Amino acid sequence: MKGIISAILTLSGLGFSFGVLLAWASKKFHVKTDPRVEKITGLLPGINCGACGEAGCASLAELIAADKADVHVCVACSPENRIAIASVLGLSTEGVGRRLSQAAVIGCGGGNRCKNKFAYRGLADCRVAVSAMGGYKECRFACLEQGTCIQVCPVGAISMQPEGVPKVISEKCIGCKKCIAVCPRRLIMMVDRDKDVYINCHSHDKGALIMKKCGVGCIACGKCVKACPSQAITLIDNLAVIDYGKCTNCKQCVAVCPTKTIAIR
Amino acid sequence: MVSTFAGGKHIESHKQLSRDAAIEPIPLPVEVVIPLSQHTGTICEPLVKKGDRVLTGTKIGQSSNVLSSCVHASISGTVRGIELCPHPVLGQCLAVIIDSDGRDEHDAAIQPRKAAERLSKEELLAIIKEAGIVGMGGAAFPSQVKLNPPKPVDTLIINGVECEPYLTCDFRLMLEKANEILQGIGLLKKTVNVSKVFIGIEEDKPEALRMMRNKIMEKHYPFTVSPLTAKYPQGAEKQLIKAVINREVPPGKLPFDAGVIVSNVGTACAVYEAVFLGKPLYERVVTVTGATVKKPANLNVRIGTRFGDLIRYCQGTTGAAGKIIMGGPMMGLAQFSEDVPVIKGTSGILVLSEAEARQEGEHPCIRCGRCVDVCPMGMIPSALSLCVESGRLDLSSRYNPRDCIECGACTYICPAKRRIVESIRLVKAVMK
Repeated sequence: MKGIISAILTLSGLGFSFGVLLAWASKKFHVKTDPRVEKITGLLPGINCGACGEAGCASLAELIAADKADVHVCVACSPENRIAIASVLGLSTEGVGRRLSQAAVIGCGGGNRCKNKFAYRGLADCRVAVSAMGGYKECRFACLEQGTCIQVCPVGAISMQPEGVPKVISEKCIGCKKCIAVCPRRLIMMVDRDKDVYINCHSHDKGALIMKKCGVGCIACGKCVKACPSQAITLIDNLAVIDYGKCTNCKQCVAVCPTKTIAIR
Repeated sequence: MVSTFAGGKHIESHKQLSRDAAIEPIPLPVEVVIPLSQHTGTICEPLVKKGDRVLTGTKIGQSSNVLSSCVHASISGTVRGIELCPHPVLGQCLAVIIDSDGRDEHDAAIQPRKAAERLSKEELLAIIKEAGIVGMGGAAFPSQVKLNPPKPVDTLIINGVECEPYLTCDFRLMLEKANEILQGIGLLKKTVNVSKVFIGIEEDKPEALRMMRNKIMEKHYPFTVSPLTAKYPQGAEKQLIKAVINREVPPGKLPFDAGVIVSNVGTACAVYEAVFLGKPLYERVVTVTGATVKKPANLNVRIGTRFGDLIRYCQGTTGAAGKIIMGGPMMGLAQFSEDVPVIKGTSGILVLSEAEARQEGEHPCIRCGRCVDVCPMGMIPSALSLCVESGRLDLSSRYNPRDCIECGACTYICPAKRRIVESIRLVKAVMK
């Protein structure tokens, strides 16, 4: 009986003294945190894509709260959340909520329609594939199909199509440009979200060569240039180029393109 | 005493296929394709145009850039055009196509040079530059740049190792052109102004060792022959320097930083021909080999001859070719077309059968450490391969991927058949 009592007393004594110690420590070593940081972190996308240059969303939130970074630094943040962040900080919400500017598109429609020079059996990474004799595709501008852009996309916005070329799902794209950095063929471009048309080819080869190699590239026939009511398309070195500043998204070029190179995303 | 370096591995050499085949000239090709870039450095500007008549040895391309090397016509005939053609290294390159007239008339500038012994260093460098000589071991670095180092050097090492399996062109050169090579080495010694000259040869080539030693004794050359362990990659520059004079080239530096210049026996021979005979580099010895090739041979070939012509000269293959490789099986480049031309750096054409070229599936790393044992640079190849596999390229920099010489010993030894060198190449490309 005596043993039981002494055990209870010892344990509750220990419990009490540790309780006092912890209570004191939590006061003494209290770290002051900005409550806004937590709120901002919750409002940021939370995918840690790194497009802002920070290690992740939490570190950007700290910078925003400390007024060292602008809300617009985060390209992935939705307009509503951006307004919410501005109101957390007590800033004016005017103009903060304007629409997200750009999403990526991949400008090559070749895929399995583009002929191969040889069978590539190396590492499944476009950056390695391009080092083997400049790529295994007949066309030196063609997508190498190894899907490195798919691997690096932090939100899974790029998927491989049955034709063998990857495609960006604009709704999912957050505009972090990570895919642009890894594409060895430089096929990926950022296009304003309110514009749906893009040239699905990057080849500067002549039309006859294109027809021989894939048949779906820009043959520089100039029909789109004539069809465009706002003169937004020009031919530069055998390739049609859209000036998105002038483009009105009327899609007349899509209808006239004989090789279906002008695509809608 | 036989010396070597740490790491590496003896690999079955397969050299018996062609080691006894004497160097033979082949009939003149009906056309040659001479790429304007056959070297490390800037591509040449063509000096001829369509319809021009050229003679053997006529200069047809040069660049004003320092790091470049001029190219010469290898047969006499008419320029058919300057077009994009298949290239064994670059995939595609602008090239001068010459139709042969079958006469092989030599350019008037090709004259044996008198009093070649009295030429100064500058004159020798100018001759080497005009002759378009590059490193004949494979990397094709312009020789006039290599032989004019920005720092003083004290040692010249001549690379007669030929550690790549299958290749025998340097071996045959040492047997058949020993006098020319030794005179060429004398010229190289004078050009770089060094006191010590070593000739590194693997001990599995006793005939070459004996030949070089005998000739040196006969003519009292001040050169030393260093027998080396037969091990891959004994012929890699840094490993050769370590084995022969026990010096290490610091990471990211070049041999001259360690006071050494390394040159191939083929280069020495080309320098001899350029200086004494006035002959630019328009032909070289190429080993055509492989178990499926009916008559493996060492051929004296004009630059620009297509691979297919050489394979046909060797009576073709017994079965379907699975892979055609320029160079050896370890570091050579697989070709997608028989139409690629021989360039200055083509040491061999290796034809593998379909069974030999079979590629096995990749498996997870079992961390056996064999790649670490064989890596001649003391790296941890498996770690880099794992970094790539797990998509953590950011972690790879701590394993010093830039040190990798891409010899392929790790990939050769890997029991899980992992593509380690490719992974390291990816890391290097991303770090750039």
